[in-house]
Amino acid sequence: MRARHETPAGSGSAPEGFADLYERHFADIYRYIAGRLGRNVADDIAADTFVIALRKHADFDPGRGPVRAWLYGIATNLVAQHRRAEKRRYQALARAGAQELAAGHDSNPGPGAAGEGMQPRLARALARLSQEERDVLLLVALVDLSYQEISQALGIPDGTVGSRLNRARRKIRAALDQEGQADE
Amino acid sequence: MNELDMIRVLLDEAPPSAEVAAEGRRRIGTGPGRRRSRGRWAMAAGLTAAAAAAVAVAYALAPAAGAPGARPAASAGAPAPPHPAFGPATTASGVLRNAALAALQLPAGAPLPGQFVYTKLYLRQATGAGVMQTWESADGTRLGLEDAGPNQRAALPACRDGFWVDKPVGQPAEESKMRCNPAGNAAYQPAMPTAPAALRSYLHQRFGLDPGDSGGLLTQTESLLTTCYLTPAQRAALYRLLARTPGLTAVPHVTNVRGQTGVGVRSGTWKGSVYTIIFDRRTFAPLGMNWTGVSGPMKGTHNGEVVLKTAIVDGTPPLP
Repeated sequence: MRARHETPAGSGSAPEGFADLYERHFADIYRYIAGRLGRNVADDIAADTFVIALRKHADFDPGRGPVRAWLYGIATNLVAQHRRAEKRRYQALARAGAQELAAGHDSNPGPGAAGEGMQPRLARALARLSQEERDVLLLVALVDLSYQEISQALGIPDGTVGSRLNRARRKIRAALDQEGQADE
Repeated sequence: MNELDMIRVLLDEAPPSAEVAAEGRRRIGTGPGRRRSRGRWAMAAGLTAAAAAAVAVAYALAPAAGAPGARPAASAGAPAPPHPAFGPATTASGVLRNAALAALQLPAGAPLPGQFVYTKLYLRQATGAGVMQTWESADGTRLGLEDAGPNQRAALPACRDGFWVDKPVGQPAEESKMRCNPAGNAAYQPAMPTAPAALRSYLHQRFGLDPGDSGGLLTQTESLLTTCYLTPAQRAALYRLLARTPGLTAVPHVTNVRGQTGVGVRSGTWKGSVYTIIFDRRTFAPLGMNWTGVSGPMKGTHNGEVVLKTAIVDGTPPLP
């Protein structure tokens, strides 16, 4: 369970406090970024997230929400600067999955199956979402942030979080259904 | 399994290696870590994508000093062409129309397959300031290079025969099993239209940009200008499309991160920041871009970048 009022540098701005924060959150932040951009890019962006957090920790307002959301906000802003790389990753995942299907392999994309032959469809659908929709959707799917935390992370109202999430999920479902029918 | 579970499975990645975590500690100063050769590359590359305007006079394919294989511009040594008949620059559309006219004065030309687009960029951001150089493959099929200083060099992947090729530092190039499209990796985009309607449609199809999204269009323009070689007509078309887009304002005096002052075109708040592209007030050549965080986690950060030099070159320095 995370501390609701954990601060970026503990009780002050001592590096030790920030070191604790880093140890608690670095791996999760890394996996979120790697999921969106791939591991090579995540190596640097995850570290950049904490470099920015360290420089700006004085601006962090614990009254506005947990530090976890604040860190994911920084990470998401950095991911947004790599839109091309992100889309390229999804397109590559789609092609890789389609190739496996064409070769008659099981559609299992790796660690567990994303549904029968769903990987290319899902990856293509993710590539088609707007950046705003993808930010909200992936903060829910990959990180399990609440609406309130996403609101804090992205600086948007709770209602906007809900509407973007609903829109993104509808688009994904529609794409899976349509492509599923087309594949049959 | 619903769609959220499926996404979780599809994008699941293993935790970072001990080396990566140690490098992060080193960068925030909480551990000895071990310097990795990639350093700040990805960040710098991302900002390259976000930046751009400054592909100014230097963008006339002038040879870059110290850039191996640099090829002189066709117009090198020729007298500068007279300035076109610029109109008033008191509105964003006026500034952008003048920038389009100036862009059309740039020498025509395009890189050949196998060549590289070389860019030298100065950037200042929340994580630091410095110069980075990139050599991006014109047709996407050759390994490129990013260089931000000693021990900060890395090869850029190539797309060859339909598969990604990468070269880890200190190791030979290796072909991955991931398929790719060379056009998507190319620094030269000959298919990019120059007619406004077709360009709008191209940007929507390729990048999901909505016609009224002025902030998105401004930053995407910057991204294209910095990561691709664009012909004068393509460059002018982007400025003209921006000129027709509501939501941008002119700023009479803006100073870039190198201390040069010009006239700016500013977006509204877009993804928590306000973006300003800057042009020389007399020649309307780009002088870079500033962006300031106004909300969310980046609030209060002042960032900027300027392209110092661009050239078409035949090769890269030795890859790390």
